[in-house]
Amino acid sequence: MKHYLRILAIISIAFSIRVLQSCCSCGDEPIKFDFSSVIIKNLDNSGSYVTFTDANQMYSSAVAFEVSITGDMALVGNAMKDFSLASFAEANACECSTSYSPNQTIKDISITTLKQMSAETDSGMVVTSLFVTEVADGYLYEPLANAFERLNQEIYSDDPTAKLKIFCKENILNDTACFAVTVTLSDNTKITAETAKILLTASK
Amino acid sequence: MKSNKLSLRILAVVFLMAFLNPFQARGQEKLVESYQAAVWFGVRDVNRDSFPNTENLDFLNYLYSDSEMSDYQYLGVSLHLCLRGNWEADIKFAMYDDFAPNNFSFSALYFPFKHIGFNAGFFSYPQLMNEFNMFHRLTDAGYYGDIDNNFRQRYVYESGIMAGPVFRFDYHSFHAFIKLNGGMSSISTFKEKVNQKEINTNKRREIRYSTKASPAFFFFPEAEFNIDLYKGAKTTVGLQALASWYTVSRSIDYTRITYTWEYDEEVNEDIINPKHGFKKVEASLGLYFRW
Repeated sequence: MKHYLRILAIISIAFSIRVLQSCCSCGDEPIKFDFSSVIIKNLDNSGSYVTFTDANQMYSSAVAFEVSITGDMALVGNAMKDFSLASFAEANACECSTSYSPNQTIKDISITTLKQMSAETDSGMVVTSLFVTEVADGYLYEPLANAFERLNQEIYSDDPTAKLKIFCKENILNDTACFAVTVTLSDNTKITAETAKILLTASK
Repeated sequence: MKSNKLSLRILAVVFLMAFLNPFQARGQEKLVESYQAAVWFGVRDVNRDSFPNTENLDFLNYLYSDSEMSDYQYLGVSLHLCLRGNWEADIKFAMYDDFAPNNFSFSALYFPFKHIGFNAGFFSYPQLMNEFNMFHRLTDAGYYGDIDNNFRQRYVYESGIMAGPVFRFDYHSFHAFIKLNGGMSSISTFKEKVNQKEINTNKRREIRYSTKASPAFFFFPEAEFNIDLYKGAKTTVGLQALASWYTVSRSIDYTRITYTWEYDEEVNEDIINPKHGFKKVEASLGLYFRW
């Protein structure tokens, strides 16, 4: 009988510890951040599905990139220390996911070609209308401007980043391609990044 | 799915009514004079015209048909009611290996003469349509014909209303029915979508199909043979064999909307396909109980 009582007591203590541990609360307040940089990755859209690629080589009709508009992680880290060290520690103890809230919204995305694309589209021209992005609930594309609503979220989970895949509709008649992507924020700040210099192979 | 649920409900009600015998009015002549319930195993063989690919997808080219064996096997139950005043009713349900009783037929028979009567009813049964996306994979050069890599399969239901003369023969323990049904049937409408991508480019295309009703006249003779094996005081047990042949000629026409790049860039077309000859042969064997 004593053995049973001991085993029961040990099991009860173990469960009590687990219950207490699960009672910790995650901080509700998201960490505020500023969008501060644009990171561009190359996409390979030659196959049936789009994938990331490190190679700076694309087909002339399959030029595609992922544009990440992101808050500076160092700044975000400082904000976390200054703003809610206690809640961050608490959140870590609870294995809470961190959420981020931007101080600005994305107002506009503009793409400028840095290389001649065709006889009509010279270097330095704004070519935003030649790019599209994937729709949220379907297979096809939509203009970049349609994506701002879903790009601008009140809360970003795990990562202070808004991501957008952009696809060029034109067949580029050049051996190389390079673009500058400029993001205009609601406080009229402009942040710009350039794509890598892409070597083009004719699609057809 | 809806059809399955409906069939299950009808099946339950019919058998409940049969066994509770609500038609038997007190002090009056019985409405149902006798019952015959049967269980049987059947096979169905489908033969349909297959046409070469044209510029339009022809769904009937993709109706399941296997030249080496019977296309479908099923387990069936039926109830035949002999009613007052030379009327009879016949209710059949059958299921494939998915155990959904989605094959059914109901018919009412009237015998003004001893050996000749009339039959009217309706039926519905499903058929498989497999890999219709192969059309796009084979014909749309330069594209990934369908980016969905799953085995694309769906049921289509053929439903119809029928009527015709019935001939009945009884000789000792042997009973036979021959029905010469004709009528009109249609294949259930459905929607399908095929997503495509041009090879080595960003161009994407979405093709949406929305089929139309496909009414067509059919001829559907049936033969049923019963042999009484055991005759008790109130119950008879026997062997039942059924055979039928069904022929129809129809096309599946549809509306096709093709979106390219974006959903506001669409081409809308009405497609009329050629008519396919379609033949179905069925045979089944089972046991019946009559009381």
